Amino acid sequence: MDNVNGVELGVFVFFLAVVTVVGFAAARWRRGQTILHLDEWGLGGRSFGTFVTWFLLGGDLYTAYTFIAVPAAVFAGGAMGFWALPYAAIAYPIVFLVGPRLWSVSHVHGYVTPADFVRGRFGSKALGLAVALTGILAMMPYIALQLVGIQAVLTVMGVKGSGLAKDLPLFIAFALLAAYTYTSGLRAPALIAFVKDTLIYLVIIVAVLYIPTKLGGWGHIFDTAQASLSKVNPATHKPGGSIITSDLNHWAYGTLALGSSLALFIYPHTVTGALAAGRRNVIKRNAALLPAYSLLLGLLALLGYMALAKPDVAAAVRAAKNPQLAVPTLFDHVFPSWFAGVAFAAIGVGALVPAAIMSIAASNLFTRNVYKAFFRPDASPAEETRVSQFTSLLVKVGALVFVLAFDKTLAINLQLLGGVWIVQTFPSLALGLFTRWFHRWALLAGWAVAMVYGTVTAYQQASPTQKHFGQSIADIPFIHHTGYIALTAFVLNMLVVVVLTGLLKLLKVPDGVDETSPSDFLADADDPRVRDLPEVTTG
Amino acid sequence: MPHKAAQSTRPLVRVVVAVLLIAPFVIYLAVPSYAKIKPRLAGFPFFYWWQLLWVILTAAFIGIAYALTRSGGGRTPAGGPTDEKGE
Repeated sequence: MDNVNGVELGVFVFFLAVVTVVGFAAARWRRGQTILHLDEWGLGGRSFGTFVTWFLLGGDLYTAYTFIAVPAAVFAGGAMGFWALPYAAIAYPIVFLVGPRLWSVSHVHGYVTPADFVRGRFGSKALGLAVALTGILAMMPYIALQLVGIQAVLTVMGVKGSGLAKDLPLFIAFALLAAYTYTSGLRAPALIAFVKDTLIYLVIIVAVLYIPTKLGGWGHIFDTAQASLSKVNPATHKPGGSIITSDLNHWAYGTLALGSSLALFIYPHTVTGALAAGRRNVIKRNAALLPAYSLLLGLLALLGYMALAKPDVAAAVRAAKNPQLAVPTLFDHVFPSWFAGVAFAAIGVGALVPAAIMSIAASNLFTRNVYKAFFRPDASPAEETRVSQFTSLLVKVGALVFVLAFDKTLAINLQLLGGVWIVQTFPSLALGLFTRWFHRWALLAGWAVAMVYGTVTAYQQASPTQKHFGQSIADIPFIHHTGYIALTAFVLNMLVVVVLTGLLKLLKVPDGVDETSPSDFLADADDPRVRDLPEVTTG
Repeated sequence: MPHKAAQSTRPLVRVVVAVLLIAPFVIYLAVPSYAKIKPRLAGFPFFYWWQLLWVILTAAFIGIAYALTRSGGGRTPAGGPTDEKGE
């Protein structure tokens, strides 16, 4: 494609324009007394019901990750890339257990971020800071993944050039995103999620019904994909993969699924979305409703096989040496231009919405748990909101740096790297919702050891195209299978936490003060202790 | 705590809820058990339709767990001794 496809680009731009208008309008939707409260800007006033919460959580959980990164992994590696499906299923029993308790305790004590809770629960500002910084760090590669998604779509539409012009569309898209996030806060992504998810459902249904008929049916797609994957790759002298996992990668498959499922609900942006629910039960109901998105994720992953099954698409993607182009190229080849434009808009908007929510969540963390906790304890709500808005811009810039600096051979590695980090807050955050047994210094030490181990191990992994951070799986010590680094680090983390807690309790080292009580974890909206946001920030 | 009396009055419910929530982990982490092509369903190798099927079942299991913990006294089993309030 040497030329820009005008129809595709026109439709794409039209939908992005609609979304931008909706974003600005969102600032006026269900507005509380003032947007200049962090809780108003960052959590949309926390008044969303089951349906809006479902859209909102789905909007940030299923993203360019779903449309671009997972199909790319399946395109490049076969069944190994499908681990995202079990991940997206087993994450929900965890949400069901963890989510309602976090909602209740947060609404009783006015916690806006996961770090707020950890600080209050364990009486440790240092532990809160560790959780906050981990969250901010983990968000950046995840936002970067969204950018890679938009980049892939623009590339296939023919928007490419050399030098600075190459990244220009990317910067324009992000300037738009930054603008409406800045003015509307979480309400913008919530309303846009309606547009986005409608588009996404439409595109997916058409894709999984229409494309297989064009390619000779599902059976033929799987058979052709298998034939294509079993060809020996000239670079590695090994087959690309297989359509079922083998003894070599069963451990990797399982640990990637389990490690990622631990990560899903403790990402700052998922917490932000969940806290915006109006009632405790809204989260429980959503734990049962959200797997609808997981089913779509599974079907979308298989688009990677459809790209393999269409020889011209497979050849074009391989020539570009960018598996992230698999789905956009497939759409470009099988859909009429106008519908390809709709599909690209779905992917583009589907990347922008979560990027907005993620940057809001990261900036909330900075404002409350770094700026306010350590520099300006008496900052006014208006000042908090301004700092948050500014940080949200900085976080987006940080993500841009990740995009430009990182090898994008397999974008899914960006999300997996974020997972290596965020999973290390699981003991303080998720387990902390159930037990107060852990000592604050043990949690901090476990976190530190696991962060260093995880980062160093990830840094050491090479891939054919990259010397460092080439993949997120590595040998598991003592077990001698390849597994997800996040999970190995998590086990190490827990060992340190348990051993040190025992030791510190034995030495009677004073523990922090727990400001929560057992009943706080069960409070629902009708409980008088459950406060709304304006009260929390002003009172 | 108005519903405290409901605590552990229905231990069976708690066991059922625990099984419902743990089952998807057991199914999905037993990777070798489903790493096979046959039997196919509508062209899908077993590996794929089995895992897609369990997404629906996982959702159903969580839905049942929700219904059980909502109407009765039993609560989520991992809730521990403090997680006792009915809803």
